Amino acid sequence: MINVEKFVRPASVDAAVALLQETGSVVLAGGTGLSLSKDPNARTVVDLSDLHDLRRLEVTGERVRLGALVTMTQLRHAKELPLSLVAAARSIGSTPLRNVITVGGELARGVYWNDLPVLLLALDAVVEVTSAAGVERVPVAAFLADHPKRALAGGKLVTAVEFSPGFLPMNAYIKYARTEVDYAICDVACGLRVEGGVIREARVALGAIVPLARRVPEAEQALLGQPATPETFGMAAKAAVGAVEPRPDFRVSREYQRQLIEALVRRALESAAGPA
Amino acid sequence: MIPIQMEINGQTIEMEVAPDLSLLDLLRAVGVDSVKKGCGEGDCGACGVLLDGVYVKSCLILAAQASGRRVETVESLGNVEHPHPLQTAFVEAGAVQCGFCIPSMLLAARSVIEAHPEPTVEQIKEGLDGNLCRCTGYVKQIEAVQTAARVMKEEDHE
Amino acid sequence: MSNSFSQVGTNVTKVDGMALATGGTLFVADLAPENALCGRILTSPHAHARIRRIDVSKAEALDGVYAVLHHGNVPRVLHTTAGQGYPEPSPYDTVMFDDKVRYVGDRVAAVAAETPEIAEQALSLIEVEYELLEPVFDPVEALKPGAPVIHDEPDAHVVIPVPYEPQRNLAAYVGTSVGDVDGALAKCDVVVSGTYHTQYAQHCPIEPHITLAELDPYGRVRITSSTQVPWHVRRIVAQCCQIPVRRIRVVKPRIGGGFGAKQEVLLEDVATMLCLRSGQPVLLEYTRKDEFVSSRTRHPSVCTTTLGFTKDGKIQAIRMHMILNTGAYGSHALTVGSNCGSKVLPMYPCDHIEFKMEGVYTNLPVGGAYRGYGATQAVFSVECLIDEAAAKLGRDPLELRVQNHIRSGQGSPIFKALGEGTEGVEMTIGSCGLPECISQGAEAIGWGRPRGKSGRRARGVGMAILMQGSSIPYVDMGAATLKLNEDGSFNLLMGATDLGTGSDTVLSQIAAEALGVDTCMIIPLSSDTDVTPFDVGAYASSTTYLSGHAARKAALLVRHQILEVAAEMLRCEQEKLTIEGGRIVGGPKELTCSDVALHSLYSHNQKQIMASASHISEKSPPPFAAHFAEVEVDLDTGFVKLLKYVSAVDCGTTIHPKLAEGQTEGATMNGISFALTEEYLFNEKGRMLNPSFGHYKIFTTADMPEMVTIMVPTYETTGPYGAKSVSEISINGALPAISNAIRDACGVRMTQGPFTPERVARALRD
Repeated sequence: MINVEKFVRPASVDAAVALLQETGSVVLAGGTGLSLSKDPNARTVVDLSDLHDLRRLEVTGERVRLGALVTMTQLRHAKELPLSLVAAARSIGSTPLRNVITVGGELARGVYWNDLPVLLLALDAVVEVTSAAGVERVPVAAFLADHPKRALAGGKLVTAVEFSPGFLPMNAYIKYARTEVDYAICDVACGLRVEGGVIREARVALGAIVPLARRVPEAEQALLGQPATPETFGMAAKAAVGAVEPRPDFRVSREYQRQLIEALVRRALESAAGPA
Repeated sequence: MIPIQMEINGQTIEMEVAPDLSLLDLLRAVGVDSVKKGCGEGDCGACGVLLDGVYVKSCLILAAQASGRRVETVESLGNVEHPHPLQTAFVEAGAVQCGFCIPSMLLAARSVIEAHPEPTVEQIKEGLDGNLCRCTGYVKQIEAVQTAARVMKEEDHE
Repeated sequence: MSNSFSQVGTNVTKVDGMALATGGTLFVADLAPENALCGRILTSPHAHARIRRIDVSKAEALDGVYAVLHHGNVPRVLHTTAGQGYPEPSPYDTVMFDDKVRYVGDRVAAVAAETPEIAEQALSLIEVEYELLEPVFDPVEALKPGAPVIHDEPDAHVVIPVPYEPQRNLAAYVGTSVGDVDGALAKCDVVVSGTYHTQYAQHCPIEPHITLAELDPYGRVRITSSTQVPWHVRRIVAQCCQIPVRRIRVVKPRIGGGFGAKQEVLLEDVATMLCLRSGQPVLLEYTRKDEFVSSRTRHPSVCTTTLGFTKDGKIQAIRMHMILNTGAYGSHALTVGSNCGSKVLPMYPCDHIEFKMEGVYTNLPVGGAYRGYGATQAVFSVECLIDEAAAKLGRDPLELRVQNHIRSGQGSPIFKALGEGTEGVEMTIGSCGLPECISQGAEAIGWGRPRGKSGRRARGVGMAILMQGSSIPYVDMGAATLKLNEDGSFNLLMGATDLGTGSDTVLSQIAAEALGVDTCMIIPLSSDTDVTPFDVGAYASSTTYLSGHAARKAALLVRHQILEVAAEMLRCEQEKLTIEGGRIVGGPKELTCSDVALHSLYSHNQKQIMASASHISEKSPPPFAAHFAEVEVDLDTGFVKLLKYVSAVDCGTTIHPKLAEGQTEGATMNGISFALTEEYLFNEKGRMLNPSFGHYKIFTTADMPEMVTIMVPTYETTGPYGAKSVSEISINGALPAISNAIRDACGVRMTQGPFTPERVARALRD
């Protein structure tokens, strides 16, 4: 950051993405990441704080739209959102951090401790990415698959996230950490649609215990077409353990990480399905 | 160097700052000593300020980012002659031991009461979760916030 | 008795409370002049190495650099960083800079520069060539023949006659025994034994260590420092910098917490030397990372304890073998080690006791004084084993404790056997509110109420009983000066060091009580070595008990002088007069203290009414406590959720009830997060992996259990107005109480702190 020459506050998304075309441009949203950055290549800070439209949280009919600058505090107190999303927002940082951490920042940084993307995977959310060329809608799984930095290369900006709460109406989120204000050791989120006792749609996502939040298709496969029972959930949890190689984490052993995946995936699925 | 201007406790300052200067270091450099540095990494919460009325950690805000904005620190609450009800409640409850974390925690407490005029213990615990205190065990501070909220409500009615 | 006090026992407004709550300019960093140079210390990246070559020429040549220090250009003065009375019981094994480094974080060099950026750059320009030596990290390994010798320098030595064998990494040793433990154990019906481990932990004052050193126009050095021990700072800086004590003034402003970490001279010698070399004011402060890595820690411990009982439940014998890891230097190793015995073993009086303690050097961060001071480490094993014995005896663990704990009028041979580097002092217990602590605490937690399981979560309760001390008898001294002003107010000049504890307020209350005035008429000042009288400092749970007596004595002397003048003014017998609420009553007419002050300063036989008094104690009466924990264990993940915690404490008279509760709650919370999350994680090369609050987790409000604090009133006749100490004791309970609660919940015994989910999960699996 020491080589930054200017701070700019564009008045529109178009102006922002135009500025992001320049090499050395970096995005400033809440600032929790950028303020401690030592990036010597940053020349221009594109401060999004005047883009008031991006602060909007909209619930219209079947669709929820979270502007990229919606903060975790906004989510945490929103009345009309799935409880799992409120829980995920609550689990991030502490109050003064939640007051500044944004939806866009949680998605764009691509660090293991971003909690929100894990839940967004389970809600099958879509990321709205804006560039000088226009607006794209990228499923959050695809957005994260090859690191967000690559998804945003060439001066693209996350402008919103959207999802349909009705698509996976049973969902749950668990953050597992040493204390309430901590970097996650394991995040689990899941989303289910159950019809006539049979699981028709399933999303199982992990975070923190892997380098970057991701879905676990093997666990999802173990759920699809099966009855929503503790046995099924147990099988899916085992499938998740078999499918995921935990990230080395100096705080916990690999053996324990595997135990956590199994216990928490099962628990998240049971919680999503509600009291038996 | 980046030119900035901001309002700090009602006074406007204009200066040039290094691009990587934090709001915390700026405030201490201009003599706002109530804002403390306990870690500089966004963890301890001793550097909390209100930025346009929102409680944030000033070590994680760039000075340039705060340009054009309104910064309030504990000096905006009250002083020894005319303390804010929160300050009185904290002192009387025994919530102030070493006091290093207190100026910031008072601002967090003010935000709690603003959001919840009659805060529950759970709401206070959530609102103060960014403020580490090693002296008190937090019990007295939670009591103090509840007391202050009552006093402020009564003052509102008067 | 306590009902007759007017100031003591009341919640007067904390004297510095509003200044702190309004953000006053009060702390060291706030007081630094704008032109102060920035000091920075270069630390070792290696756990054990010899410095073959150090070249500071590039750093010295850098614009804006005013001084560079290293082993080649400072005096080599062996000393201890431990802020203890002279001659210190800690070994002289430290120099300002050495040609050897003994842990990752050890001092290598220091610079003073115009800005932090230049200082950092200067550090990066210092070239150091290290010869790597084999490190040793495990204290048990370090004691074995052939282990790397950490202090192989010939000049390390001790200054009191105690065992010290650096050639086998033994920094301190204590051994004592009474009776015949082997013989007694052989006759016992139930013998329980176990090895318990406690971990590295840090005090985490929110204000890290910080020191400002300035030269005044007279060539004296003024050190403004965040310290618990201003007088020891003055003495040790004089020693290390080889300047006379008279050239040094140490000022302690407000302190942002210490908990023992600031009973250590870590920055003051370097800051002073940088100031002397540069001729400029120098501000030297630790970053949070430095605070973890290079400051002081709680000595980790390996404690093997055996308890023997006859089948009637009576304890017969105790054996404790404590191994303390003191890290690279022996700071406080001997005294923390002896406190492991002296603050724990007397709890259960019996005729056969054996105690052995080895303080061992390793190439890891340095141990030091930390609230609890050995009792924390040792009580873990004893209080867990009491529960194990109760299980074997088929007894309620609470009842077993009640049957065996020490009572008023009882003594322990341990009091005499274990002092602090010297023999201890024989003592019988005066006040003891332990029975009330146990019964009221049990009531609050709902002892005996069945908990049981709900799904994959199991609940349980556990308890522990605790004792500490109040000052170090015949060693610690505190002094105070009191003088009367024209308006009837009094300056209370204290050596006692308020580090956030509230001792300025408590000692003001004591002085006011003795004088017969309101506390608001006392203007406390602590501490300034040029102005206030000596005090050993804020440690060993001594301030209220010891320095409080000094304040009381000085106040009684001043009261006598006031009455003397008043009698002269009123032409009556002095014996008839007394001071009540600031008024001198009993004579032909009433006078105020202000009347007396004006008279004595301006009218007749003029003099300044003032007095100084010192106090040493003959006893170290223990405060007592009973702690209770209720937990819920997640059987799938091992996560322990602390639901409720009760601390019931007997600290004698609570001079200021709210502050006493605050001390209890703060210590309790620290103990809880020590038991559940706090620990240093190291890589295989001895580098700490989690030196930040991001990864070293201390509890926030969001982690709090329901907390209940109960103060059980007793009256300690040797204490000022019946007071004993309160600050340390409550940090000790959480480790055993929570381990016992986990055992109650799910049957596993946790013997290694902290009780992380992974450790509990492993125990559940095994």
